Amino acid sequence: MTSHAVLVVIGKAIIGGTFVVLFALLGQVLYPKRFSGLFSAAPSIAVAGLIITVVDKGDHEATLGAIGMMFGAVGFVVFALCVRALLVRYNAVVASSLACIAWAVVAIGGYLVILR
Amino acid sequence: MTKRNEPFVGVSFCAVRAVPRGDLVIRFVFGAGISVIAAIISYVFGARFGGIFLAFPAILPATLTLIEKEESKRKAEDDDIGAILGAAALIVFGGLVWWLIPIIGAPGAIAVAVFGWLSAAVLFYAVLRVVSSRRSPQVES
Repeated sequence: MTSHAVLVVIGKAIIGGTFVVLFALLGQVLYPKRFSGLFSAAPSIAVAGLIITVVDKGDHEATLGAIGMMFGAVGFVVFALCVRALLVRYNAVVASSLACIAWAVVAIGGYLVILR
Repeated sequence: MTKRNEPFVGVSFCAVRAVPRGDLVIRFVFGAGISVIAAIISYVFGARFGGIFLAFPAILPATLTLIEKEESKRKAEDDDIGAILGAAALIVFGGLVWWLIPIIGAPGAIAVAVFGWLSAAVLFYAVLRVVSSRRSPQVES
């Protein structure tokens, strides 16, 4: 990776982490839990990633990123549904870890099947 | 199930003071870590494939773990129901960004998409409340 690419990665990390904290705080002040839960799936990483991508590489790359993101979002829905089912039997750490497999299968698998 | 007298939405700014700083650090590290992974994958495999990771569930696992530890499993389940709706709205967000960038440019498209995400998420939540209140009797909290 070039030094420019490293700077871009660092920029995405700082802005991504900051947006995650801001959305988490927003979710913290809101109630009931079902409403604040909306912000657990806020586009925090996406907004940070897209902003830096636009600044670094322009609009076209951001459009491509948005296409991939829709597959990730479908995977996120399946992830959250799996967590809901798994929480009956397991704790949150185990449920989230197992559900990550479902996210990867749906998001990456769906992308590879449809777009390749 | 909708609890009796449960508001559609409420705000409690005092809750911010109760958040341990360690929790915020954990969330920042999760967010920064996933952003780094997404950025490196975009760099190696291209922006379209890397875009998948822009919708990785970065906040939810940490949030559920902290809620389960500090409050209860039931509240973690409620938070997850909200996350299902928020995730469905993320599809709307991605679709709006993809559709609007060629029309109004990236800054406007991202701003509209954030508003679109929030609108869709609140709409889904409102529909869920109506459906769940019709399907089950009101219960005491």
